[in-house]
Amino acid sequence: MNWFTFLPALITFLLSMVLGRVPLPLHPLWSARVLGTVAATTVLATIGTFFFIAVNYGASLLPRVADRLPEWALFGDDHPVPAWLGLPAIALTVTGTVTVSRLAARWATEVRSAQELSRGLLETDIPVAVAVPGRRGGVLASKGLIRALTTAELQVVFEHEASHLRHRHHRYLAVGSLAAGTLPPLRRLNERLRFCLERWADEDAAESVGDRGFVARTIAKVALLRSPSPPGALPAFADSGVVQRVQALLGAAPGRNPVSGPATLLTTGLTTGALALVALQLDHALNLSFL
Amino acid sequence: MSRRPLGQLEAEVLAVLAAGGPVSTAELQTQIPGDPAYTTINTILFRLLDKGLVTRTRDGRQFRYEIVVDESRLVADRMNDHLRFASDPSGVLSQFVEILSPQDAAALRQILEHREGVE
Repeated sequence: MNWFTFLPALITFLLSMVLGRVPLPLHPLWSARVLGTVAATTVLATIGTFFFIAVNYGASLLPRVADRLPEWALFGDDHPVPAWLGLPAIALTVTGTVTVSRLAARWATEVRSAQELSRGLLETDIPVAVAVPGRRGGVLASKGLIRALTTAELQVVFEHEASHLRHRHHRYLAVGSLAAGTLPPLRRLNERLRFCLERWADEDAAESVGDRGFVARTIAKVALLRSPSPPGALPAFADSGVVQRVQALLGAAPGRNPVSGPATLLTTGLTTGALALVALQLDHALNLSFL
Repeated sequence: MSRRPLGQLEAEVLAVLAAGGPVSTAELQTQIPGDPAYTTINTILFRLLDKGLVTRTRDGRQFRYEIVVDESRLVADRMNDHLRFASDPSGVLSQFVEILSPQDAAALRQILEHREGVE
């Protein structure tokens, strides 16, 4: 083990931090894919690094057990992992695993109850529309939403939610909250990913409805229905996703990035993927000498 | 019958029904944009009936349909679900819009007003 052990996790982590702060100049469809890929590989690389440090620390404590471990799982040098590194690594691996399983359990119940509810309309005056993934899923809407919107406006909402379902956005959301849950500094990355997914669905809705301004007004209408605030309050700053989404829709449609989009995704995917492989020691396991 | 997601036409039918009172199929047909066929509306209504989203009452030779939300769903624990989806969905569920802060709402109103002024 040496400082290079931390390099894959460090690089992916730094990339995640940067992408959480600097918006990519790409169509939201490509931004979301890039952000999702980076979030996934960062979690793999970081958890993998800590896991193998923990394994090697354990191996230096219990040489008998270490003999039974496959050779690729060990760092292959005779320097024992110091306790100040080994103990936190064990703690982080355990908390990471616990977080992952807790989140997975929470999703399962959340999605199941949403699937149950999506058989009907929610009996609430609050305008709600949620895309519920899964074979038994669909769009979960509330009575308040159906009542408050015209059919044309409802079409916008349903096109938006249908886009979430069609492109399986729940998988991106799962990766994002997994990243934010296991590595709290990645919260910004998760927020940006969620925003990109909403923008992606907005653009899809705008494309099928054919009127960007109308989609913008519908989003604003639903948002304002949900937040009755006394008029006259001065805007301090507009940082919320909804305001940015409305502004983006009132502007020109973003380019589809037919070349730069896939190119960016492929480059980040390959590099961060390779880094995650290295962190997981799979290069040793599979004898990939080129990594 | 397998359950389908709430489709576009279903949503439109529900929208008309939610606007009020028992409505007959013929009345619905005139109120839905896009001039859908009578049989299409009937199919949609039948599907909604199957899902338990509407009820119908006989009125002479035809049925009148009314939107229904199963009140038995409103038991306390489900109520919590409703409130949760209405206020804080997280993880794999994403809402159409999140709740705005008063500042954001004001900013949004200003953007829209400004735009209407331009047009």
